[in-house]
Amino acid sequence: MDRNLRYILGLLPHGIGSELSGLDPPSADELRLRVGGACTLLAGGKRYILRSRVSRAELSSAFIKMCGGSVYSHRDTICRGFIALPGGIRVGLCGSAVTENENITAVADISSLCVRIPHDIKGVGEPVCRLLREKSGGVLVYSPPGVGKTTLLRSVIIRLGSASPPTDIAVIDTRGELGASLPAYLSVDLLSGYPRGAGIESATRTLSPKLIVCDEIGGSTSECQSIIEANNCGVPLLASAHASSVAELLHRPGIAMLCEAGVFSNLVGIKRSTGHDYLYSVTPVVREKTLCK
Amino acid sequence: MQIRIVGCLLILAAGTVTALILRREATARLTQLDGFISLLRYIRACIASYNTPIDRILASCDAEILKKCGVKGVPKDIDTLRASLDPRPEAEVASTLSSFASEFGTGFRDEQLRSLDYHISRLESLRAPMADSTEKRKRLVTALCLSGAAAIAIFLI
Repeated sequence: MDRNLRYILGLLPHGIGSELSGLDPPSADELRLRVGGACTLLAGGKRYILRSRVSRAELSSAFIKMCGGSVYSHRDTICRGFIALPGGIRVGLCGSAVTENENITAVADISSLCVRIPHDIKGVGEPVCRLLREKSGGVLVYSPPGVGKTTLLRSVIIRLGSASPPTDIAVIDTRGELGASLPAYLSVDLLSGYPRGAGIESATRTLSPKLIVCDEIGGSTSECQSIIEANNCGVPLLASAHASSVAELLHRPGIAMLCEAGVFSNLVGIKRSTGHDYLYSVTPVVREKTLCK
Repeated sequence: MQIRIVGCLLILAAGTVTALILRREATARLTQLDGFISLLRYIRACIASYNTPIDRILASCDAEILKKCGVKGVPKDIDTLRASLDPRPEAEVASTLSSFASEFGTGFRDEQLRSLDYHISRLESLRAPMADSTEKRKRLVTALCLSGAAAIAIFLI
């Protein structure tokens, strides 16, 4: 059984845990728990509907265990809809939002948890590494959710951080997923929990990186503006964003702003074949007018 | 005669040592309560400043504080800490800790700080009566042990 799944089983309500242990699924990707509703497991491309149901008290108890008995220490991410567990596991959550001036200040009565279990796939990301080695500028990796952008970024970090000579890499790990299970011997500085703009600024001023990596950018134009300001230093940026095509990617004002500002020189779309191999499509960024597929 | 004098001295020494041991036991529960108050204050400071999760708080806590609480090793959470306490705390102290453990870790920072403030003040309110009764008990055991030893010594002579 997968190491990450075994870790998760220890945090789950007894009924669900026993049923999953009995299933012993190969390579579990996603587990969804819903109060009183159907709980499902996605593994090996197949969706299993579990017989066990989970009560509100059981889900709440599982959630507190996932927070390590310290919900207060995960407040920022809880208000953004997730918690990050060791090993790069991300747990999406929803419940009743408590808001103030339209900002979520707390989430009560958790009703659903969606546990995404990462898998290390060795050897991916060579085209991205090649673009970065050519020193042609920043690279933005895009795909729809769940394809493997974070896995790819982690693989590139490991490849370049352990090369001979190694590349000094600053990883802006805002969501706590990139830095999970990175080997200690890498030439990597991990800025865990830093907002992207502040993290890039801090890294470029103090750590002299040769490459900066961050995940899931483009959430807001203000964030992109702070990335542009911080990035005016010549250090290439490797990042990822959600989109299924270049046109959809550039339709987002923040991403278009970053491309126009010259932060990225190449856009790399990724897909997964049925054999789980990565398929890449590289689109160079032309400022003022960008090639669209 | 000389043997009797030696015997009396031994009895007095035994009485003194017994008194010291019983006094130390009498203060153990007060020392433990002081340890709990220090521990909760430390937890509060870590949460107020850094939102540190409980396992890291306990791992970084001064070993002397944990020793005063009667904890062996470094527990990873409050429930493990409570289960490993030796000696077992007084009933009211145990009840306060149980109430604290049931609330801890389930809410956000402000809620945790309020809960900690409440439970720290509850423990502090238990301290004065416990200190008072500890003093009385110490005086009592000292008087009993020394007077008992003296009486036996006199009887022997």
